Amino acid sequence: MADPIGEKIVITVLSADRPGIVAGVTRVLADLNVNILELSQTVLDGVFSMIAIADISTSGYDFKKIKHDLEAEGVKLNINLLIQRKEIFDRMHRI
Amino acid sequence: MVNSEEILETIKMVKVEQLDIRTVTLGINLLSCAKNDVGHTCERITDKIFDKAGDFVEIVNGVQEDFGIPIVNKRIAVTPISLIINALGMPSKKAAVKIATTLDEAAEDLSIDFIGGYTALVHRAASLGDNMLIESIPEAMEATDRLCSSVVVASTRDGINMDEILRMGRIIKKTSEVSDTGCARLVVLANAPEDIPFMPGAYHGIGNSDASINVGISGPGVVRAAVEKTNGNFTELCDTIKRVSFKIVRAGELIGEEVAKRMKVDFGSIDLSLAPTPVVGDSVAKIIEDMGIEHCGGPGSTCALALLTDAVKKGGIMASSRIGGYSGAFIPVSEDRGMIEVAKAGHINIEKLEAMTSVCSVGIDMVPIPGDTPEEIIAGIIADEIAIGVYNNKTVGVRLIPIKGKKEGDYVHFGGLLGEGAVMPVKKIDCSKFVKRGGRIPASVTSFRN
Repeated sequence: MADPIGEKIVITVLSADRPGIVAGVTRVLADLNVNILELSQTVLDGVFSMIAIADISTSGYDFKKIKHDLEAEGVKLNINLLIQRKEIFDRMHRI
Repeated sequence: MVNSEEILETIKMVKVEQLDIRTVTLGINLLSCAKNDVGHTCERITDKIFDKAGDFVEIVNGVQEDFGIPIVNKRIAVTPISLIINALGMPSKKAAVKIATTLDEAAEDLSIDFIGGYTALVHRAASLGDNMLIESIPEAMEATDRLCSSVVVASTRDGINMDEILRMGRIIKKTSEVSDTGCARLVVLANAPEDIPFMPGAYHGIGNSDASINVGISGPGVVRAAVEKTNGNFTELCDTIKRVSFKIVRAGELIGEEVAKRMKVDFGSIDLSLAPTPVVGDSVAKIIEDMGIEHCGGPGSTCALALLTDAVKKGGIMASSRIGGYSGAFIPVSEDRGMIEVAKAGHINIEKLEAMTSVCSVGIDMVPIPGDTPEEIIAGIIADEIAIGVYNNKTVGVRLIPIKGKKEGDYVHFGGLLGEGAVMPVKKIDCSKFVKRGGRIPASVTSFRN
């Protein structure tokens, strides 16, 4: 079924800094055939943050399944991981 | 493309500052359900609610998952039930209560938090159906948990129906004697809009379509976080509030649009009222204090609330063309952590609350009062608040909660979103001769605008 809204998602990770976080999250995306459009990562005062904007239209899976798998990875890595459709940010911050 | 800073700002709003959508409310027209026999009518009401709202909770939860913005309540608002009672072959109090319990059961079966519309519109005069409904309120509230009731007693165009205000003094008192939460689910209104998503005032006005979605945003915590950081002058303060309000309303607009689309119903409006909760930080009173007033209720509080309400509206109106409902700031005493504190300390009283409600939305809201307050004094307090709405062209409501067996200073717990608080003193000055004069106060001169 065609997705009723857009195909772009925003993945945000907040966590204490340590190796393997970007690798873990992006591996899940690769497994699901989700294409990353933008990826940024910073460490400020020991707090790791990563923001990825990705296109799920290339994936054979729906938003629910992608969210589920990413959240499972988040639990495994013990990080705060959020997946939201990109429209919410566009609507709040753009006129 | 949105940048990282903006993405993190939204996430902080949700995770730290308690940004949420307080309610998505589905309005349902029940006029087609009215039949001669009340049993048959109730069957049709249940069928219609299940038909329209069967997958409502699931859809709202799906939208919440997609956008990552919490949606706290799923609610239903129906056609004013007095209209349904009027259409029955034999309108009666008993029939009214049967409809009340039917609505409550449907809400429970569908996991709906509140169902509103147990409503009578008597701003000019009461019909037979209105009379039956109003007289049934104590019993209906006693028999239900999720049902919300509202009685519209005045409007700027029609004046103030003092007979009904006096009656509501008695009904509120009686309700408080038979039901612990009944009075928290009952409001007396003036100038009630037909698209309120917030309870207990929500009903599906007859100007609406068969079904529609209205959204109530929230966000005192987000506004407070912004105000806290601002040490600038009033222009900067107002600009800060406007910017935040814009963003909150845009989030609400997207969620409302998406729910309406998935439900295949109209999107009605967004009510941009700042709705506090007992959670620490989610308080309108604290925003006022952060502007530079030691305790909410002190001198300057009315002015601070006025600028807050105005700036919230300006930001919201810019953000969406679907602004409706109350749209302002709520100051429900027992539901707002900051208000609970200042009320306990005696920094705020009913008179100051009344002044503050002249510049925000709703009115004297969720105020616990002594159980022995005479019904005429309750009517007098209602009349004062209603007058503020009628003569200033604004919506107002009164939600007073007489607490059986309690006196001023005693402490009560309502639980959940309804909160807690100290019983507020009420002036025992007799106004019975005034409230019992009878009839309707004519429409205000401000209404003659044709």
